[in-house]
Amino acid sequence: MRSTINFNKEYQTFTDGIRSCLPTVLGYLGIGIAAGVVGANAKLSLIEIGLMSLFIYAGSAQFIICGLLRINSPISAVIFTIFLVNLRHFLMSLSASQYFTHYDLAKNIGIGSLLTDESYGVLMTEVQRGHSVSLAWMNGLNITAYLSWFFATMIGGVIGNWIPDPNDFGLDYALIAMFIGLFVLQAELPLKNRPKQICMAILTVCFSLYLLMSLVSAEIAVLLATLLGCGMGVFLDEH
Amino acid sequence: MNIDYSIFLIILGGFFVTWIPRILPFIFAKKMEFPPSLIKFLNYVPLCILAALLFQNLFYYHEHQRPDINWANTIAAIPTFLVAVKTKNLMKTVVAGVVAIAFLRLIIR
Repeated sequence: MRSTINFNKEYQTFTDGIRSCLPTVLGYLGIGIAAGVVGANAKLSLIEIGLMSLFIYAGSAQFIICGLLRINSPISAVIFTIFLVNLRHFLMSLSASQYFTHYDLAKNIGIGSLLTDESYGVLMTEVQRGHSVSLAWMNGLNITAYLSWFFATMIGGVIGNWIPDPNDFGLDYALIAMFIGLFVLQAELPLKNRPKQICMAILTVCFSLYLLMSLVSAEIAVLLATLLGCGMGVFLDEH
Repeated sequence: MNIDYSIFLIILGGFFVTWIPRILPFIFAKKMEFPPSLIKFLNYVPLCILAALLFQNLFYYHEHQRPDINWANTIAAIPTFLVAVKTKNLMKTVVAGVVAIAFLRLIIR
């Protein structure tokens, strides 16, 4: 923890939040355009793509919806799959919610409604670095992400009728690069303080993820591997 | 420009099943104090979930089969990782990753 008050200045205003979101915008553009193109190829109208981005607002789920529509899955199965794919949000919200309890309920619900893998990653990186974050900052981060996602999927929906394969630009890799960056920023400090627990937790995640990916869907594997990794960390903390 | 009825139902249902898990913990946190054991557990969530999301992307997923390594993604991850460690800057890391994969796809083709 750093002790100067001035140090937190950069994480207070809505504009600071927008600035903190910028590195992730490239990722949203890459994946969002791809999601829009895939939506258009799955015969979704532009309005449907837009509504999906505004109301479901989850990249992996939107790809999977398109996949399921192609094979004419029943509506109930599609909705249940969306639920499973996005269940990790529960865990992220649970972890993020601790930092905003001093704001009222409506504002907390607002933060939770727009929380994504990316905004969660950015938030927890700042928390990790000992920065205190404000509601305005979080809203700046979340709303920038939300609008980037919406516009990216709309662009994808418009150009989707001309390009068949959206993965040819390298932009799809922005998401993975972002996960790498967020992971490194997140691991840095704990790795110095508790190297054994952190290494074991990460190894547990990777190993169990590899095994689980052959048993369950990739998204459920992510959720279960995360739970196992956290369990391992807590176990080592206590022994 | 129209909205298909079944798509409408999927969006409506999809909204509720993603929104509720997203906001429910924020309501819990407001109404009660989390037990220390849960907080300990939650301390590991950011690191573990990012590790899982990252690691998953280095593989091709096949249903009920062992995943295959996605070599292009994995090789491009090396310079990206080095830039991340060296700069600690998210934007530079993202740009490095995109440049690395674009270069890789260029020479593989």
